[in-house]
Amino acid sequence: MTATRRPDGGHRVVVTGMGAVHAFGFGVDRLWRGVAAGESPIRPLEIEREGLTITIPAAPIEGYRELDHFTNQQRLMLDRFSQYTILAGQDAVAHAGLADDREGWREAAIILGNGGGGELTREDAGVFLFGRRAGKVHPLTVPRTNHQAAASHLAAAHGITGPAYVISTGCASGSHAIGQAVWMIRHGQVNRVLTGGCEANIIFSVAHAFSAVRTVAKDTCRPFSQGRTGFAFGEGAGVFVLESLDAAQARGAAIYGEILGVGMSIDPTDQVQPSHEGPTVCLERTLRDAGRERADVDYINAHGTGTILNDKIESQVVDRFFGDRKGGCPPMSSSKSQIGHVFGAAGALEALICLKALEHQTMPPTMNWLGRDPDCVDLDVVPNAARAGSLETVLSQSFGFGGVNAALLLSAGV
Amino acid sequence: MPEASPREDALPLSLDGVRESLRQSILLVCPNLTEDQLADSQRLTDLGVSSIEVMCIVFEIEEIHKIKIIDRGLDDFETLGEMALVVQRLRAERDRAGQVGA
Repeated sequence: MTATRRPDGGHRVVVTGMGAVHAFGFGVDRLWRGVAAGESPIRPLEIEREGLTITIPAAPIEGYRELDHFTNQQRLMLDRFSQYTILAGQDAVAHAGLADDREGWREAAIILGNGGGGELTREDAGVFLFGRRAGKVHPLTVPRTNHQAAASHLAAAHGITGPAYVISTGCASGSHAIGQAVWMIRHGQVNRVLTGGCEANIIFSVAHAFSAVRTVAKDTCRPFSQGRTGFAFGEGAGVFVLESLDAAQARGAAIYGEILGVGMSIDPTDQVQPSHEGPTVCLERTLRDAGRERADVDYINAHGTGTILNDKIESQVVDRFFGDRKGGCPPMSSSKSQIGHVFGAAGALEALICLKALEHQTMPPTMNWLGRDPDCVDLDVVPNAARAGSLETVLSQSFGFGGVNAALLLSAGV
Repeated sequence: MPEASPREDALPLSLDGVRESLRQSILLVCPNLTEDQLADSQRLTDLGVSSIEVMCIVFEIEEIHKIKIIDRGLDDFETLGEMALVVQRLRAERDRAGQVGA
């Protein structure tokens, strides 16, 4: 009989529903098809605002029409980042077979990750105040910019009354949110959580902000590659239904994976320049939390932004951490070369990709790779094509600005 | 995305001109409606327009015509025709105030 408790007595936490919105479109299956086929929809995108333009590499959600998914009043109330979260959340709930389970949702929690909140609405406010000097902003500016807007909507849709909050740690937000959700279930606070991450910031002001800090790629995102110059923007949301193994088995739920371990840390050195120490202790804590060894990790989905500093430091961290084990470092690839950097959603979407990788026993590729960058350690980055592999345990890494780090260790389930 | 139209406060002050401008504001906020639904006597609530949507429509109108409706307790209109009369009057008041100030 399968043990439903960990050796430390905590509840095992399993994935029973998955939902996603991303550059390939809608749904986790579409996400995986794009990833496995090596699609990279990143393209030069010209953004216009008030007669000014900026061109950035980005993987936007093409052809998205708000009224296809929401009533007009909902459209007005919800910034795009909330819309994506709600769509991914509904997708995950339906996938879990829990769309009509209001009684079961009552005691559940919602823990979401998001970097910037309503960036577009905030930009609108700036245009009104400082561009048009209108002396006022749109009356829905507050509800639209609220990070928690999607949580409110999802709570109302499913009758959720449990703890609900949003974690905002930039590029690590999604992984932090999932980690927090895992811990809540593990320690018996709740037995079901709707969790994940979201972002929608492919807008004029944010494009300028990241360009100013010199992290945006000149052409496209090519992690760990010769010629890499930065990241490409992405947008979307990834949402999970997590349950205790007890609860999932009690209702006969399909189980799509298990989150074995969570690790978090912050660099004790610098706000924008990544260190070795922060990510390294994050990985140590993740394995310790999972009760696993370095030898157990079969594949790593990297933070892999394609920026000059991240890839260099991340490859060094992984090499130092895993390099002396038998067989050397596990293969490590970056899905940001395909769906772009989705900031607060990145950790969630990449964890979804990890679960599909386990299901299909296939390692996602690092696309746009032109050859080894001498600044990076020479690791197997699964260049330019997905590859079959024997995968039991995979690691998803998120190392964000501000030195905030989070990692998740996942397996295919019980 | 709610975004007020560019400033058009030089629009003609005729009632027909104001009505047409209001129709465009309503359609901007409520793209699910069509122009032929927006007759002069049409109650917006009968079209399913919510109070939130009316608030957004008023914001658009204020921005386009550079007038203040909400703070003056004038946002209680039900039909496009009533709205047009209010806007026309406020436009005229605004223009007169501008002339005095000049």
